[in-house]
Amino acid sequence: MKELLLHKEEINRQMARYGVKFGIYKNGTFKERLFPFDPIPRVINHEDYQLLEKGLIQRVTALNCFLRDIYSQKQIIKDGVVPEEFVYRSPGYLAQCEGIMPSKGIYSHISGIDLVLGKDKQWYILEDNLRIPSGASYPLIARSLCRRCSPDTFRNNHVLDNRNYGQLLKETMDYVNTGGINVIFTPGRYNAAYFEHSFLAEQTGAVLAEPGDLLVSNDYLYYRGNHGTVKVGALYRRISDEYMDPLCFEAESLIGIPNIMEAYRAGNVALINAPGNGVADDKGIYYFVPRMIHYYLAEEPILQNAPTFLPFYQEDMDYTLANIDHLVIKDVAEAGGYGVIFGRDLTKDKLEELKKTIQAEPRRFISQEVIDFQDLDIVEGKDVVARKADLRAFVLAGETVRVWPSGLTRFSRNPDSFVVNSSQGGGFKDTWILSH
Amino acid sequence: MDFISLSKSNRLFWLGRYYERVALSLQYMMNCYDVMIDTNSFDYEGYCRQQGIPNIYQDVEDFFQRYIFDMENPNSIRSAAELMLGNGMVLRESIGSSTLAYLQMAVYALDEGAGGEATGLQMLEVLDNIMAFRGSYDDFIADDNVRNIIKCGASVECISFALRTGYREENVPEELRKFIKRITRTKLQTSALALQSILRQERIYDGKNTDDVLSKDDFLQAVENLFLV
Repeated sequence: MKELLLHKEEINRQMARYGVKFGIYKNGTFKERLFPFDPIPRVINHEDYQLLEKGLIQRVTALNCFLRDIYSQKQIIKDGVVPEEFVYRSPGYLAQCEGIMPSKGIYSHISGIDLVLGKDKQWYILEDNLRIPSGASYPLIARSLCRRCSPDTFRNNHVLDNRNYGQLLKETMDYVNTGGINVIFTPGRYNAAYFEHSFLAEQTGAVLAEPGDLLVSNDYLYYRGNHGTVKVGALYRRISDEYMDPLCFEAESLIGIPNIMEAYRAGNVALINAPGNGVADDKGIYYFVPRMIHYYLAEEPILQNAPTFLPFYQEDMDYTLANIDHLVIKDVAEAGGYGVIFGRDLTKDKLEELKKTIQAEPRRFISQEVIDFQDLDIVEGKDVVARKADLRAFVLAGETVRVWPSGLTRFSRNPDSFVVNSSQGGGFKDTWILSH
Repeated sequence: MDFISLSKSNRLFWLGRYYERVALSLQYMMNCYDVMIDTNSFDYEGYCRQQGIPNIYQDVEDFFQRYIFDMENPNSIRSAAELMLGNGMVLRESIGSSTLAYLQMAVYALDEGAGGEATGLQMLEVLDNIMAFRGSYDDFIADDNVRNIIKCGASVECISFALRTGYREENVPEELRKFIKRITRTKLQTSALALQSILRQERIYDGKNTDDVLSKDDFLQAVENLFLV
């Protein structure tokens, strides 16, 4: 491990060599940044991982059941387990997806589940990302570079190999493929995660397509090649639902594929992940996931949510208002670390203002206890310092539901911050799963 | 087989043009730099005229800094390198991360050279990376069509540069022969008129059509306008 630390600069240089970057828009300008890598890995021992793996598979299975139910029978609403307000008023719910059964009945093929490890040694789920969770490519390439820089580290530690992500993803795409080639659809070079799109295309052997490369004809999706058109059977789209199809969603979208929803509705192409998944990773719905596990699987949830309150319920509203100064308030419509307010950081006036907003729009917010999660060591200059870090685990649902034995550990570089998102200046680490 | 869309064909072609432009311009500049050690002069105004780019430079020193390294100068080698990398980045799944890395390193080397004293050495490092890129993509890309589109772009640039500047003009007949073979191996759309002129020029070089004459400008135009990309 010591050797790995000595190679921090070299590893980051290698990252630069391979163009491991993410993009951000600041003041209307697109800028690409290298994603800072810290060589000290997060290490998860074998026993902990077994529990995590079971819990993640359970959670994603239940979430897929929920999505299938919501866009068909809606039994969970009829049975009063999830209030309909949280479904139909969610911005992620898409009426256009009603009655569509995706290939093999899978909605969330690639799920990014964010967790933190509390100081009580318990893992807590922070949020589910079922739309376009990104980030797998970073630890994937980092591992290869670390192995190159410090082979002894990996010779002497029993770390599960994580370099099979491309294969897992390919198998997932192949399983739901309706007949045709696999395509990764990117909005283009100036998307924040473009590196990942192109890297995953390389890793899976899929064709990387941009707007204009794809067209729908007679309810089939085709890739426009210079040898003619070729049928697409699975489309891993890295573009938000609302921009997917200008004839179905946002009419002004210039980056969508007209009529793709018709091809999808006809069962002639698999969309990965399915449109409309946002209804299940809404911060409000998060509250109900343990109930979904009970409801669909008749099992006890293996992994816990962070203690969460829904001001929608009077009891939770009262608790939130009374304890707002030590709770974290999250706007359910926001993502990427935005819309997260720590009560302790606000002045009295601002707190009062926030209370009024919550009372006026109770459905818009959730409140959570601030979890005192474990810090991880990072190298800063010549020192090793502790920083807040989370873990994004990747769960792939194809023929079976599998957890990628790795994950993206993101950390805050700011000593006072709990926000770890790359868009907010965070860095990342490799995640080691020990084989025994 | 790699599936190639029209936009991807376009990028492959321009990737070829830009990497060849960066390589040739740097080689040319390195020669000029060497001559300048003894003569302390270089006709940069003439060079700008040959290349059809505006002369925005104060003096020869300013030319060497800004024409080679200035990212803000749209006609600089640095700008061409950015376009080379930009086209490469969107072709990662076709050319491979390890091949693309050479373009990235060439750009880093170019940036490190800005304002430095050993400009020649830095240019050499850029060139080394571009040469490695050439070898790597030739080896990595299995699809003939993809490889040949990149090479067609490089050939166009090579002939164009030679005709404009006179640099290695003696190599043009050989380059043209290779180019013509490549044209038929790609599925790129070509202008019939331009192709006719190019084939005519080949016959002239081969001595099969000694009565015919094609002006340098017409030949240059034909090469530049051959592909409809």
